[in-house]
Amino acid sequence: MKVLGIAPCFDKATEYSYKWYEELMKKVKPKIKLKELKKEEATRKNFNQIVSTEAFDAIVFYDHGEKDGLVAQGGKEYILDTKNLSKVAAKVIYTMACLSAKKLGVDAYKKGIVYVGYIEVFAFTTYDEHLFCQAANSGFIAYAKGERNWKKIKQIMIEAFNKAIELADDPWTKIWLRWDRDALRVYDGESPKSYCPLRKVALKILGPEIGWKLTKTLVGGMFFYLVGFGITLHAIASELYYKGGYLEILSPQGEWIGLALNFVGFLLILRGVKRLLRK
Amino acid sequence: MDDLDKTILEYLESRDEDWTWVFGTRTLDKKTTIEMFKKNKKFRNLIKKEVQKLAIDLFAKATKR
Repeated sequence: MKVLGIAPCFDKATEYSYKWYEELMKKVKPKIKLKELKKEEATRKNFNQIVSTEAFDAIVFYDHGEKDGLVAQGGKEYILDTKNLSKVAAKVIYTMACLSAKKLGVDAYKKGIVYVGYIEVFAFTTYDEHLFCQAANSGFIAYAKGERNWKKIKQIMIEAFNKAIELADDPWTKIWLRWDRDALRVYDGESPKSYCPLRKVALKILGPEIGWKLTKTLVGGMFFYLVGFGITLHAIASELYYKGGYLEILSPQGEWIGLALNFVGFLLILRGVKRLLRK
Repeated sequence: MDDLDKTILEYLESRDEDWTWVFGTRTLDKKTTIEMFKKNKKFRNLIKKEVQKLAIDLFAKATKR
């Protein structure tokens, strides 16, 4: 298994995330083939270069994150966001970064990438950091050991957080372990939650596999086509009515054949698009 | 300030002077946490909500035992 490990280190919080990354890699190293971008090497430029020349089974990222992207060394740019996500040829992105599962994770999921991340900021107490480290690392350790069922991997992580909550004596530690556990998202083991009412309808009707892949352009195109079709239908029908009443409307007309073929064509295109989206 | 606010504040004030924790990009010490808890309503409500959630968890677990 080929893994790209990324671990910037430039402030107090990233000193911990860097340490956790090192601990994770120590545990999984015998089972993976590892390429790394650490500290100063963890820049967008280096990342783009490496992902455009090599394909990875998994990308592991330990550092700060925001809903739009994962933060590069120095904190001034994203190493990965929606703009360069299309360049990534990886099956899995695994991160403990804050917030990234909120948007970047959803976009990755739409592209067929398994995304493990958090929808809230990641919080931890420095004196019990080993408990947070164990829980945050548990999912990737399971993956490296050969587990491929992401629902199961999420369960393993939840259990690791629960075990850490049990072990912790300090209530402040318990609170933030609980917080991190509830913010954990494993997109593939579960599908993202949508806040857009139209997307919600699409997910309900078409299911997550297709519902998440529908774009505004596609939905807009279908909307304009169907409204245009309805207006044309109404205009032809009213013209025929003035010409000869209902009898004229119901008699076989070239306009009806044209519109029927048009509609059949639309249904066939829809079927084709559905198949493409499933892929 | 209600009873829960006071209890949380007492807990925070009882921490060691070198007590720190990390909340996203921010590393917070005792003084900053207390200050934020007193002045930042959003932060205070978040903490109270999480304390309540933990309390519910602990009681639910105790019931099962």
